[in-house]
Amino acid sequence: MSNNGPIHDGQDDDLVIALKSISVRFRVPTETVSTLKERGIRLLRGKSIGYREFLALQDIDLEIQRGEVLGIIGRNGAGKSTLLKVISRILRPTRGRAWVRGKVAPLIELGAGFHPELTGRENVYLNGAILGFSEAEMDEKFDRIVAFAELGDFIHSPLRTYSSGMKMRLGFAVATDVNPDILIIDEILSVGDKDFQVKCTQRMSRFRDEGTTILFVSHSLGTIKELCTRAIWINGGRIEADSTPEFAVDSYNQFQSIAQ
Amino acid sequence: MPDARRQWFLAILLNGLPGWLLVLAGLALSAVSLLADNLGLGAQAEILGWKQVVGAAAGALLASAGAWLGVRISTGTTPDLQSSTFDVGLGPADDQPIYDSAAPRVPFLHELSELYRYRYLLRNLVGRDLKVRYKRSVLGFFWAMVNPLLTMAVLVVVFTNLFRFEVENYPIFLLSGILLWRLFAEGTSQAMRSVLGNSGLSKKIYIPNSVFVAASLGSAVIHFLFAAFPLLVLALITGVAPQVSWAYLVIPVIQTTLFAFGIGLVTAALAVFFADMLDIYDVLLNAYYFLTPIIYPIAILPEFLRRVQALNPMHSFITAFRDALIAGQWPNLESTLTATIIALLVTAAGWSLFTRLSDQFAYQV
Repeated sequence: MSNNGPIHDGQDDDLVIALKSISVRFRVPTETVSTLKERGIRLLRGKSIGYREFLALQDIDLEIQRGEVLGIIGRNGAGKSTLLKVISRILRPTRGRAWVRGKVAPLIELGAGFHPELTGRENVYLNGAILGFSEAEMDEKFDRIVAFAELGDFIHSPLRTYSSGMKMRLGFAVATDVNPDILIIDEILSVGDKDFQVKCTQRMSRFRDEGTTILFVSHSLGTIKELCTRAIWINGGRIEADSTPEFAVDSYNQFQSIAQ
Repeated sequence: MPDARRQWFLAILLNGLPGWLLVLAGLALSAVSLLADNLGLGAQAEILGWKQVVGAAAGALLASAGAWLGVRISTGTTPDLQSSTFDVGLGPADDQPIYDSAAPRVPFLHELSELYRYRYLLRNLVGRDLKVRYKRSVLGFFWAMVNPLLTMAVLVVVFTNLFRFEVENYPIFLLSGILLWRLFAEGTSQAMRSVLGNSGLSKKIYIPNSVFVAASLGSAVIHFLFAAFPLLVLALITGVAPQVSWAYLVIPVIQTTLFAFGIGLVTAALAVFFADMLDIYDVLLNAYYFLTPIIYPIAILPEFLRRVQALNPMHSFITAFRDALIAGQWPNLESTLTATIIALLVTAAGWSLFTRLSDQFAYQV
């Protein structure tokens, strides 16, 4: 298989992500046969279970260089999140090859790993561990995170006593204090109030200026145009456009108006 | 490249492990059947009794099925020798780690190194579980000690009045059995729910799934340790003298944990694919509880069931634990080794199955 050779030949030092003919195929059972009992009965009767195959991604080829800010647009169910899952190694592609260099940090939905009964401090360490950090590494980050989240003494109270704004600030502070090589942002900036969104945008710009590669999924086409250096438009699991943000957004808009 | 060849061999060995274990079991069954007379198991006059023939045939069948399974599941994931990047998974952690979905790897070893890499998360998850469970209760961690004691109190009252078992120090007999059983039952059923239960998290960020299973076992072990303390105190109160053999108590606990880890890995993986696994397992667990001499002594079982208990790992762990605790007996080396090897084999088989299936979890949940 030609697929197995080294993808990185030493020439292209800035290559951070390479996807080669990636396909992701989900098998959705046509009837709901999800129990062991039913499956056993079918097996005894010699019936097989019907599957409908659903290609969430089809033959995706994509190369991303260090420092690029890539916007990903498309309708719901077009395959945007699946693409991000392949890159952040949550999903192993059914076919093709994903090659990623560097530490990938998804800016997961704020506080996905938070637990209401634990204190802010305990949650910070838990979330850090989820992101793959050791206790020593979190010790070093802790003060900075608390300062950014502006929580003060509340950091020692259980999370259930926090206002939603405080939770959001804490989640964002933990998630962005990671210095990743590749930052993945899925629809995150649409939550929170204006102040918070401004803060998020600022921090993203700082990441961009520091040369972090950013993958950014959003339905807010204005933000895509504003922040990204390149954009792809995904439809039906395929890349329909891969170009400047303006061009991709325009093609997407045109497609949307024709579809309506 | 002899190094690549060795790794290739390792890949075949580990990827097909459940199959190879079946082959071994089949061969052993055949050998025991054929040599039964020589081993003194059944002194028949005939040269080959029909039971021996059936046993040997069943063994051969099992071995072939194992070989088929082993070959089938080890090919496909086994890398070819020419491959340039061979990630067995035990390489040093890198500042700029490279993820290559096409790099051939041995899931068995790869997941091990991932589990080690996420050991801080493991510790945090165990801590979260314990803190959350006891944080808002008045008695706090004290519950972990009180709960098994109350269970035991109820059972002691019921059983000493309803049935009369001829057992030395029945309360301690009962409590030690129940505690070890709870380590197994709690560990496996929480492990079974762990992968599904944490799918909200693992859909958003990469986390090796085995961490969740290991964390379930971790909290079960800590609960056991909490409850073991009042057990020892009670033993002293009821007149068991502290003995050197108490040092042995650690061994059955480790064996039970390993055994539970193996079973938990299997149930966790199956629960992802089959929704009714949760109910099926609860029924099985209940049946297993009553089939194992935990609340009753083995002596009350009929002859046939008593023999079957020799094949029951939980029975041998619990018996060793009780002998060391109450009677002050050191189990002999042979039974210790047998029990340990069984526990390790179950762990290895469960790990092998789990790691082979874990890539598909994200497609299912």
